[in-house]
Parts: sequence; C-alpha cells; structure tokens
Amino acid sequence: MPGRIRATKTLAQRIDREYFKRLFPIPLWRRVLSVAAVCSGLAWLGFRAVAHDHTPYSTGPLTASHAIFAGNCTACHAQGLAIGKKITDGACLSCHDGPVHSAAQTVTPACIGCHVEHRGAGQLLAAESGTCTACHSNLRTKTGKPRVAAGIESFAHGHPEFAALRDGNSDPTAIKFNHKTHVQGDLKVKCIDCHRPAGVDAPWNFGQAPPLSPPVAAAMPHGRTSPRALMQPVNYYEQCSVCHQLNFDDRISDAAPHDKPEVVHAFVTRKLREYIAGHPAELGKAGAPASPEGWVRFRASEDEKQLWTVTCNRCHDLQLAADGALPGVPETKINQRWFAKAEFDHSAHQELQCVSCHPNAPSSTKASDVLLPGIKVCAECHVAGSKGASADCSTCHLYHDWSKTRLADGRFTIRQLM
Amino acid sequence: MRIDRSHRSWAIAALAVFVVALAAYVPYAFGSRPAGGTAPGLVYGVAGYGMMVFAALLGVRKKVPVWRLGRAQTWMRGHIWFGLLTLPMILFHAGFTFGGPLTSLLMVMLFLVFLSGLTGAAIQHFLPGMMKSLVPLETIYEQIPSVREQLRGEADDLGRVLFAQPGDILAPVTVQVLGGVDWDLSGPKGVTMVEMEAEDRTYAGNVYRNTILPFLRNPDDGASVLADPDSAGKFFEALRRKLPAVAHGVIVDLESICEEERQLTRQRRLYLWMYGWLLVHVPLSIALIVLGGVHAVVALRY
Amino acid sequence: MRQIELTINDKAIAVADGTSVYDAARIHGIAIPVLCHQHNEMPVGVCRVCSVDCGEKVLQASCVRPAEQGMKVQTNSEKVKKARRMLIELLMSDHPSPCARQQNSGDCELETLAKTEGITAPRFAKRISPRGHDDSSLVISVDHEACILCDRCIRGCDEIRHNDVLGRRGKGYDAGIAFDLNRPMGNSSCVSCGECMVSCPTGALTNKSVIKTVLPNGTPVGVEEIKQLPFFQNVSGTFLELNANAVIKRHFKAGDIICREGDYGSTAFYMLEGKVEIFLSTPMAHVATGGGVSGFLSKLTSRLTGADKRNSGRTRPHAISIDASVDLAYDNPVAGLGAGDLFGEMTCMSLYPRSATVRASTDCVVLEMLRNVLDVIQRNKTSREKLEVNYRRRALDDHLRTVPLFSSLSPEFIGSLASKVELVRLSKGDVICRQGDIADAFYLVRIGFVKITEEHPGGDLVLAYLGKGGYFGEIGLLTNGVRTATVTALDHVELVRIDGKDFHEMLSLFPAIARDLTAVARQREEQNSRHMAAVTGITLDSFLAQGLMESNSLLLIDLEKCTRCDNCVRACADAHDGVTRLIREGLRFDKYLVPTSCRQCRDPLCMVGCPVGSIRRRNSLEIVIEDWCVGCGLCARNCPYGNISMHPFEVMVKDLAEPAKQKAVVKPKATSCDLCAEHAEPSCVYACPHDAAHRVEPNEFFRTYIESATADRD
Repeated sequence: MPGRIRATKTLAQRIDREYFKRLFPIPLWRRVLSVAAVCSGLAWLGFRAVAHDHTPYSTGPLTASHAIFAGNCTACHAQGLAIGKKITDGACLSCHDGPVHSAAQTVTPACIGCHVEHRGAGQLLAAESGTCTACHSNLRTKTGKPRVAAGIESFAHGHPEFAALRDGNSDPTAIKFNHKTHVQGDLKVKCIDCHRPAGVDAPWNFGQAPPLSPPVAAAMPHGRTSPRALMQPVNYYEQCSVCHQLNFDDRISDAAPHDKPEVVHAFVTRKLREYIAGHPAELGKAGAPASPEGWVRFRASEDEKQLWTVTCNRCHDLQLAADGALPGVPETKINQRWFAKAEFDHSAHQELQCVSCHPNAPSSTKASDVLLPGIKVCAECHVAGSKGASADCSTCHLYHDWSKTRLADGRFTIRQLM
Repeated sequence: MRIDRSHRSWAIAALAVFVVALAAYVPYAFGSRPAGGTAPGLVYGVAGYGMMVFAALLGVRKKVPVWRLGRAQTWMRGHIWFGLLTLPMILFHAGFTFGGPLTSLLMVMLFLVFLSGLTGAAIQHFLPGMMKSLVPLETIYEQIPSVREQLRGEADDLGRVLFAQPGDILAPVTVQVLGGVDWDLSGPKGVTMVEMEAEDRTYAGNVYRNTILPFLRNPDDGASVLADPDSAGKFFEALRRKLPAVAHGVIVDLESICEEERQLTRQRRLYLWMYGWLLVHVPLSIALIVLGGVHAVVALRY
Repeated sequence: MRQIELTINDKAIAVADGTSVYDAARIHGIAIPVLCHQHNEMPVGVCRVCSVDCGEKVLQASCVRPAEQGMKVQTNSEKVKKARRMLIELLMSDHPSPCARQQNSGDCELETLAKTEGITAPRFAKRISPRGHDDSSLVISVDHEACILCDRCIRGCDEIRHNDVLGRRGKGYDAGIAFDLNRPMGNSSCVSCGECMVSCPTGALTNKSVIKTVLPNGTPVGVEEIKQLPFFQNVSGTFLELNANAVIKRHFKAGDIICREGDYGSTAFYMLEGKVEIFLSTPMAHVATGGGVSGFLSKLTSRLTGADKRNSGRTRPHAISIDASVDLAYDNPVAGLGAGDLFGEMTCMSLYPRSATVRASTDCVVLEMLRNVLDVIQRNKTSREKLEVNYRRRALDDHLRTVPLFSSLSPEFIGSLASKVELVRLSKGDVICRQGDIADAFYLVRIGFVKITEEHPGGDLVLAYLGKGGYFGEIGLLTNGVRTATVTALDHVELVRIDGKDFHEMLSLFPAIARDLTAVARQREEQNSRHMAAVTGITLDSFLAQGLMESNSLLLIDLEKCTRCDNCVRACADAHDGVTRLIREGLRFDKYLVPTSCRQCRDPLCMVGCPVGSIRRRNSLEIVIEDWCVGCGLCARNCPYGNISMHPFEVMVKDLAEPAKQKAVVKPKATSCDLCAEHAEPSCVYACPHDAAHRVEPNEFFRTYIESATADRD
C-alpha cells in the first residue's frame, strides 16, 4: 500500500486554525454589494430630495391635469395628519369647486372617497357605483323621509321607474299631435324629419329653409361636453311649416306668420289692405262692404274666423273669445328635458333606431302620451359587468349640485403652481 | 437546509397564515379598490415588512451564534417559511399593482429576492448531497489553496524520489502542520530512493516536469491531460507500464494526488453554486428593507 | 522428567525430554556456533548458523529443534560445514567489516566466526541501499549496516527487560530493527538500560561512551567522586564505569534556568548544593484570541453575557502536582528545593515533558543523570531509603491532603498515617491489583500513570487514567472487600500504599470520611455502570477502524444537509474566546463527516502523561483541559484523531532574565472540545442553521446501522 494515508489527524493538521476569521471573496462581495445597493438606492432618493422632487414616492401616475404637481406632494398631501386623512377636502377645494349634493344628506363623503388619484392618466371624475349606493342603498336624510327612492342597490336592483312615467304622469303639452297619422299613415314621416339633436345646422325636410330661428342650443348642464345631448325643441317653422301652411284667404298667397294672434291679426289686415288697394274692383261685391276699411274688416273677421277655428285649432286648443276679440293661446309646454336629475345624451345613442328605444312613438295618437322609454329599455343595454353599457350611477347622475356652484376666482400665481 | 418531514409544522403554519390572509383579501379586494393606504392594506404592509425584517434578522442571528436566542435551525426554518409569505403579503398590500417609481422598484427587488431565495433553497437542498457523492476527498473550501500547496509539496517530494540521482540528499516527505505546533509526524529522516536505471529516471523526471507539475500548478486548467479522470487514468497506466515495478508505488501516490486535485476543482465549482446566489439575495434584501422602510415612512407621513 | 537418548557427533548422550539439540550438545561439551541464539532468551532460529544434520532431509536449526529419542546428530560434517560457511559468507558480504565492536573490543561475534571459518573476502556484492546509522540516543549507537537481524536485541528488550521498545520493520533489503514505530532511538521510548546493546552480537548496537559522546553542558563526574556521595553509596562501580558519561555535574549561577516547563528531556537532577525555585511560568488562563471579523462582537458579548461561564462549576484544585517532591499551590504556584532533592524523575524514567520551570535561586551544583543511572539508584536500597525519607518528610502530608476526603483529618493522624505508609515501585505493565482480588490496600499515585480497567466480554473497558495525585482502591475496601477493577502501571509508577487495616481504622475514627467515601464510591459505581451499559459488544470493521466504537460522544455532521457554511466553527470559536475546537475535516462514515472534535473516548489516550495533570475528566463525560496547561503538547501528540490542538497565544510574562520587566512570548496551550458543558447543548449543534451537526452516542445512534450491517453479514 503506497504511502498516502488518510487519517483524521493528518487531514486536520493541514488546516489553519484561524481560516474562518478571514474574509473570503464571496462574503466580501456580499458586504460590498449590500453597501453598494443600499447606497445607490439612498443616493437616488437623496438626489431627488435635493432637487425637491418627490416623484419617486408617488404611488402611480397622476391624471393629466394634475401632472403639473407631480413633483410636489404637499400640493395635495398634508403631513402630520392621521392615516387616511392626509388629503383634506380643503386641498381639493383650493382649486376646485364641489357643491353640496343635497342639503339633507346625513353623511358628506370626503373628496377622495370618490375621486381617486394616482391611477393613471385617465378620468379622475369616474367614481364607482359603490360610492353612491353606500348611502342610497339605505338612504337616510336629516329631514326624515327621503324624497327619492331609498333602497337603490344598483341600476338593475332598486332603481325606480323614471319619474315621467310614474303615477299616471302624462305629457303636459297643450299641442295636439298624433304621431300615428304622421308616421304610419300615407305620409311616412321619419323620426329624424322632425327630431334632431340640438345644435345641428342643416335644412329640415318639412321646414322652411333657411330656418327662421337660429338653432337652439339647449341649456347645457355642467359636465356635458356635447351640445348634442338634448334634442332640438320642435317648432312650427322647422318641422311643420311645409305641410301645415297658414293660408287664410284665396286672394292672398302669403301664409300667416306662426305667431301670436295680435301679430297674425296685424298681418292679415295689412295684407287685406294691400290687396284691396290694388284690387278696388272687389269693393262692394258679393255683399262685401264698399269701403276699403269696411271690406278689410269684413274679410279679416271672416279669415280670422277660419284661422281661429280651423287652421290654428288643428294644433292649438284656442280659447275663443265671444266678442270677436283675439283668442287666447294656451302655453304649449313642450317639455325640453324629461330627466330632472339625470343626464341623457342622444348623440351617444345615435347608432340606435329611434323606435328601438321609443317603440310607442309610431302608434301614439295623443300628444299626452309620454313617449319616454322606461327604465326597462335602458336596462337592456346598461347592465353591470363588462358585457353591457356602463350601469354605473355616474353614467347618468351627477353628485355635485352644480346649480349651486360658486364663481371661479382663482387664487394662485403661475409660480405657486409650478 | 434539506426540506424534509421535519418542516411539516412550519409549512402548515405558513399555509394557514396564507389562507387567512387570502380569505381576508378577497372580500376587501372586490369590495373597494385595494390600496396600500387602506386599513387592510396597511395591515398587510406591516405584516409583510415584519416578515422581511424577521427574515433579515437571520443574518444577525448568525453573527451571535452562541447567544441563546433560539436554535439557528429554528431561525432558518422561520426564514424560509415566513420568507415565502412576504411575497403574498406585499402583493396583497399593494393590491397587485406596482405603483410609482419607488414602489415599482421595491416590488421588482422583492421578486428578485424571492426568486433568488427559492433558487437558493433548492440549491441548498440538493447540492450538499451532490457534494458528498461527487467529492469524497473534500476539504474546507477556504483552505483549498493552502491544501493545494501542500499537495504540491507532497508531489514534489514524491517526484524527487522517482528521479533523484544517487547521491542526492532527499528531504523527507513532510506533512505541513498548520494546526498548532509543528509536529514532525513523518518518522525517520531520510527517504529511500527508488532504484531505477538512469534512463528511466530521466524519463520519469521529464514526465513529472512536463505534465504533472504544470497540472498541479494550475489544476483548474481543463486542457491538461490530467484534468479528466479517464485520460489521467490512461496516462498513469502508461507511465506504470513504462517504468519498473519499484516505481509503481510512487506513481500510485502521484495519481491519487492528481485525483485529489481534480476533486478540489470540482468542490470549488459546487461551492460557488452553493453560495453564488447569495450575492443577489443578500444585497437586494438589505436594500429592500432600507428602501422599504423609507417607503413606509414617507407613505405614512404624506 | 523423561530422559531421551541420542547421539551427537557419534557420541551417545542422554538428556531430558524437551531439551533442544543445541542445549543437548552444549551440556555435553559440544559447541555449536550460534549467532541469533542467546541462552537467556527464547530461541527463534533466524540465523541458521547453528544448523546441524539430524539425519533428516534438510539441516535443522539446533537451537529450536528439540532432541528426539534415537536422533543422530552431526554438528561438523562436511555438509554442515559447507552450509555454515555459506551462511557466514553471505552475512559477511553485507557486514561493514570491521564493525564498531570489532574495532573497539575485537569481539564481534560474526567476524570472529568468519575468521574461524577462514572467510576473509566474501564473493557476493554488498546490498545497494544503505539502512543508515542512528546516533540519536545518548547512550547507544545504532549502526543498521552491521545488523544481521538476529533479533537478540528485540528479545532482550521484550523478554528480559519488558520495555517492548524494539521491533522489526520493512521487508527484504529494507528490513531492519526499529524503535517504537520506527522513531530515532533517542526519540523513542527506549530507557537506555543497555540490554539490547549487551545482547547484540555485532557492532549494530554499541555503547556510545565507547565513541566518546557526553551529556552536554556539564563536566563528567569521575566514578570515585560519585561514589563519595551518600546518595550513590551502594551503586555498582562497574555500572558507573560503563556509564561514565551518564552522570554529569552542572554548575548554575543564581538566576539560571535549569529546565523549562513543557520541554522534553530525558534526565533527572539531583541537587548537591544550593537552592532552586520551582514554579509554573505559563499563566493560569484559557487561551483566547481576539481579532477577526467577529472579534469585536465577541468581546462585547462576553462582556454582556457576563464573566467567563466556563469557570462556573469547576472545582479549583488545591494544588498542582508536578514532577518533584513538592506540589505547587494553585493560587501561588511557587516552591523551593534544596540539597538532597531529586526532581525530574518522571521525565527521566518515562520521557514525559518537564512539568515546571526550575530556576536557581542561589549558585547551585546539580548532578544530571540519565535513566539507567536513576533506575539503578531507585533499585538500590540505600538511595531508595533516602528518597523515601525525603518524600515522607516533605510531600506525603500534602499529598495525602490533596485527596479531598483526607483534607479534614487531624495533623496527628496524618502524621501517624504517614509513618505507616509504604512506597511501592512498579515498572511498565505491572499489575497492581486485579479485578476480583481481595482488597487490602488504598493507593495514592506518587509519580507515573496507571490505567484502571474493567473486564468485559467485548474487551476491557478503560474506566480512567490516574496520574500523580490520583487515588484508587477505596471502593474495594469500602464494599465487600473485592477489587472492582484491574489497575495496571502504564510506565514507571510509584505508589503510596496504605494498608487496609490502617484505612479501616481511619474510617472508624472519622465517620464523616466514611460517609463521604461511600458517596464517592457510589458515584463511581454509577458512572462505571453507565459506561458499561454503553458497550454493546458488537464490533464492525470500519466503525472500529476509525475508532468510532471507542467514543462516548461523537460530533457528526450530516453531509447531505451541511452547506459548509462554517457557522459551527464560528460558534465554537465564539464560545471559547476566539479559538475554535472544531475543524470540519476528517474521515467520513456513511453519510456523516466525523470532524476533529473531542470524542470523549472511553480509553482517553490523551490523558496519559500530562506532566501537570491539567487534562482530566470530570464526573460527566467531558474531558477538560484546565488553565494551568504548560503547553508541552503530549496530549495533542497522543490523541490519534488530532482533536487536541496546540494554540499559540501571546502573553506577557515575567522576563526570567530580568524579573522586574515583562516581555511578550508566544506560548502554546492545548485546546480541545469540552462539549460546552455550561450550556444545555453544544454551541456547534446549537448554531448549525441546517440541522446538520449532532452530538450523538455512537452505539445508540448507529445501532440500526450496526444491526443491519451485522444482519447482512450473518
């Protein structure tokens, strides 16, 4: 057996007793890299701190409009307050206005309860339904019984039928109109021939061109950017005038203006006077008075009788005066907005057929029919979840009561903002 | 640490904590937007950070091994199993989002630490057994250079026995003793020369100087014929055939020295695997704790 | 005795049955030349020079061949002569003629034989590789070239002197005699008795004084001068002549160091004039190193965790036994010796390291002598008496008092006891008492080491080693009067023997002692039975080969779990002032590494020979090295597994040359694992993060392994 023997003693005596006290490469580099990692991390934060830039500590990108404050946390965050209460309402209200929702609400949530920042460059306004139903699913008010439905869990559960369709409400309009004869009869008038989103400047099929009145931009509520949310109010000249001419006398080709009875009377008498001045031969014929004044008076009352009782009465329920005085025209009360507390934007629904939401319109015979679609129609598309149109409360409703907004009076200089 | 049955109670405890955390997270996440600043988010954050600090304390515990603070293996098991929980806790804390620059960095570092830790746990589960089987002639890693020097000395002495000329004064084969006082265990002074013809002696000398000595000077060199066990075996077999029987004992000794060198090379490689991952795990985890602390302080202040 | 008849050289003779042919011839005046045979040694028949023709097919070696009835022996026939000549010629061919003996006294037996046979120029070539000379012994010169491998020296050392130093080594041309495991003669356990030299037929072993070397540093003393001294009165003058240079006279000035603790030596000193101071210069401290990465933290923690816990629970001994007729008190280890005192006996007789430093306080004249001289003195009645008187006067009282049980005895009783004790001398291997013998005495060990063993079917179990200051025999006397163990002397041992009668008288006068002794006896019995229970008697090769069976407690590192992180080593260092007792190296057993960490062997070889008795075993298992270790390194050498390491440390000591100053010296101290007895668990096991280190009792732990392995074998 050759001379190399492995024995515990000889093996152990090859080893230096102090070897473990020395620092070998791997432990050395562990220490070096640890120090390097920590120092570089702190250096990065330190450099940022020296430059008064707090972007490293941000928990997510800010919305585009707040990006100007990205480096300055104290613009919104206050130090030293309790956890969860660092962003006071005061911080938001120093630039924004957030009018109260209802004077009767028992709980006023903080701004940050619904408006969550650091979620990316998108909308800050979008609040989830949960923030609304937190109160409205079990509504309590300061004044006792709430005036709105108190148990709204979601659009599908607990949301009441639209007010206009409830309790036997009807269309308050004084105009007499029959959709059926217009739409389903021989006329085959299309919805868009009479109804159009406000602000569209294009000729009407059944109206006089150019339109006699400028297009009406409906009162735009705060928050809606589209001027086409509401429908253009229906008026005579734009939608009716082509068919419903207001001729009053065979001798005169002009139609009477669609205006107050006084104006009509003045127009009629003027026109008759002009005519008889040009056609003096008519005087005294067929029992008509011989004097021009008398003739005019006579013809005017005949013509106006026709107008008041037949032509105008077709649509307006005139209140005739017995003594030949001018009739009274009841206020038309054509409703511009059916939703008092919600927003509806027709241009967002322009891909749909009108009848798919307003199915009763073609068969409606009375003007008192409320042709507004019920909640069921909306709920067909506005379903919670990813497969439907948004069913969030904020799709239609606003929290802040913008009627009570304060005037904008900015407080900051440019330097302060930057 | 070898993960075996004795870890069962730890694994069950960690799993229980995870299940509880998950059960608490699900309603919280689907109720409102989960975020670090909410009450549950803070609980998760504190829990996660606490676990990270506990995991880091393992390093401190190892610096005071004698203090009776609980056995080192208890700490190690805690480190592994509760270290595993840090990732879910922090993910629950963050609501599975990355957040801003600092928090994204922290999350990335956490993932790296977690993954390197998993890798390390796996390495330290399997590699010791591998080392045991693949390196029977193992020694202490830090002493490998010193041991190699001693092996070179031994080989030199043996080599000289082969090719020394008659009349040479041979130094005895010494075993260097570093542990304490230098004891001469080698016995009598004077080593018997191997009796060979002069030409064999020259041949042996050349072989030693050209092949064996370079290999011993640089054992990690893969190009040497002695770097591979099979070719080395053939080499020494050929040498044994060439030289007379009196030299065979010395040749067998040289062969065993070369085998030991090869095994030491293998041991070095395995050791680097065993500890290399720590160069990622430790620095990042320390940075994670420091910067995580900064994050916690700033987030709670603002 | 039956007589047989045979013829030798045609002469009819009758001898007792069993006589060898050689003896038969010798008795009847017929000389047969021999080389390896010596009449006072067992014949071995290796040289074959005594070959004779017994009428058989081959020649017979007459020294070993027994004579048989009717044998016809020819001792000088041509055939025999031819064979003899050839043998001698072959032997002469390798013999460095003329060898030392032939040169000095002209009586080399081989060369004489060769001359008789007329062999002057052997025809055969000399052997090529030389076997060398060995000049390391002070007394005997070894020339391996002249050795004819007759083994006479071996038999002389073994059979006649029972020193068992010599043996054979090697094969073929490499064969030769060897001292111990082939150590140089001077570094071996040879006691320089000279028996081998006397036995050697050639010049292989010759008296060195012939070659004129002397003990260094002194003047040789003339025989007449020595014989003048009362101490050497009855020593054989011839012996002194032969060993003229084995005694020298040395002069020391005040302040000279005569010998240093921890040094190895082989001489004893007898003071003729002057006074010396004997003390321990190594500080009483545990070795500690600072520095390193965790040095600062260790200092801090040791301050935080309180004082050195290792000292708690350690009983401080009253005195430290050294190799002189005084003991050193632990608190102030200084004593004085004067004219007529002998010190260094253990070093001289058994080659242990020096146990203390001796410095001359005044100008001194001392005799320094080798073992053979001391041995003769100790055998000599007159000198022996003087030594004993000295011992009784100076040391016996203290010695008796070191036995804790006797510490409360009245001085008068001690005095009366002292006069009744007997001093017993024993050589290596002598059995003092055997298990089962009637107990009749109580013993104190004065110098040397004894081994206490218990018989057991699987082999004897070593219960303890006792050195100076140890005592034994009380259990036998206390119980039913039978020895419970065998006590053997390991080297040159001197015992103080107290007869059983006196012992019982003492017990009846002092019942408190009887109670204490009974308690100690019971404790020892329990310990022994615990040890016994641990032995299973199953043996296995690899288990045995590594000595694992011999251990009471093994530290095992599971290599399948160990990540080689060194936490265990660091923890051990932290627990022991920065000096680790554990090195992660060693042989493997199964999947475990058995590192170098004390195994608490049942047969603790490390304990044998400590000159100051600082390595000892307490009542529990752990072997501890006390803080007065002088750093001689014998225990480290003895431990076969390298578990004890000598750790150098720097310490400020009194400058011996200028006592007023201090200087820094590097001193070694022995360190070994003490199982971290002050903690519930050893620090290495506690600190392993991977559950890889375990301290186990090997028989229990490997029981399943052993059982399955033996099952396979059966």
